[in-house]
Amino acid sequence: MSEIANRAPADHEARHRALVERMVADLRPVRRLWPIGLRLALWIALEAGVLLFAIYHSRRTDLGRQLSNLWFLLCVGGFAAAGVVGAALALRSAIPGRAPGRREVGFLLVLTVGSALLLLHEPINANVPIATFVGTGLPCVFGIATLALLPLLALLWAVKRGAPLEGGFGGALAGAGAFLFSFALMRARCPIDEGLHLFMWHFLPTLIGIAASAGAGFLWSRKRGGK
Amino acid sequence: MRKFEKAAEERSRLRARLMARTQEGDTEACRALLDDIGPMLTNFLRRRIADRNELEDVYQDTMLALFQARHTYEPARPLEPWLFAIARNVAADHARRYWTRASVEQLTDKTPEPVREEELRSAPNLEDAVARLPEQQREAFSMLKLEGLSIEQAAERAGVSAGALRVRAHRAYKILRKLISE
Repeated sequence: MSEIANRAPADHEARHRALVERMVADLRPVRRLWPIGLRLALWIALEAGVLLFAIYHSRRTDLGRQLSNLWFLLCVGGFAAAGVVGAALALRSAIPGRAPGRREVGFLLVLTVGSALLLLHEPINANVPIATFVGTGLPCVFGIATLALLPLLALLWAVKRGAPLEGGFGGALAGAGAFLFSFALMRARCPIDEGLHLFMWHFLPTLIGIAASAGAGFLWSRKRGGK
Repeated sequence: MRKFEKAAEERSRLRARLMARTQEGDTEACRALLDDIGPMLTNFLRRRIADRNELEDVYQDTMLALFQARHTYEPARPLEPWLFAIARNVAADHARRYWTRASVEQLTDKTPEPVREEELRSAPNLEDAVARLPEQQREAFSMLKLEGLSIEQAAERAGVSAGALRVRAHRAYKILRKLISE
């Protein structure tokens, strides 16, 4: 048997017994987490609601025409898929023994980077006055953050309901889920299809949002004594 | 061997059933489960906690962490990966705290006596040898020998076929034998 038991069997046995009895006395029925698939489906339904909101309030007048543009579709679809993968991995990260491995996180990274590379296909206009560049960009940053807020809170809450072993990692995945999907929504909403604008005011805020979410997850887990 | 694996699988299923009943508040199942996993958990932890005096504390912390996270267990899945993930996390947290404390104490304490070379040679350190294994082989070795998973369970967790996992484990044993005999 165990080394503890070999060293002081009676002592270990007595402590084990006392601990077990204390836990049994505290035992209450618990509500199991809903299956990951169901929770992910609910999250996607929430994102669908946000999508309808985004389209309804879209400043884009050529959305119908853009939907027949393969590059646009690939970019939007790629980021939306990356968001869904991020959300699924975030939900898994909160269940001990099911945390995503390197291969799965690698897949998410490849999907994100691949979708981001599609932005290079957009034309770049370096002659935009700085005031116009900033003036048209800030509403997009606000839009990305607003569209990501509800889904992010929902994911963080779902992660918190579980038992995440690494808070920063769980927070980063939740952030990836919410902000990458938000990027896709903003592409459908923002009428500016210009490379520098998309990189500076869409993609960078997305990355910052993910980092902030990772930080929030890390701080929250430190508060409750995790890592 | 086949018989042994079958018995291990049956026991794993029993633990999963006990955990499902524990989630429903069944005190007898809870008691039986905790008694059953106790020795397995101790074996797992003693390979990770160098300081034997602290082993008991980590054991108790792990048991409490398992109890608190019981709502996250999915009854359709084997219990062991869930259980060892929590135990590994508690042990890692403990090790981090231990080394932080040790480094602070080292700053204020006397310089320790240097360890003689013969002493180092006379005690081959399995933990160091395992740490030197390539990642996939270390993972295979840990799952089979430290966590006590069956080939099938370990292969499923690593996301490879049972044959591939056997090959990894075989290579790990070969390297370990060499490292320890050096």
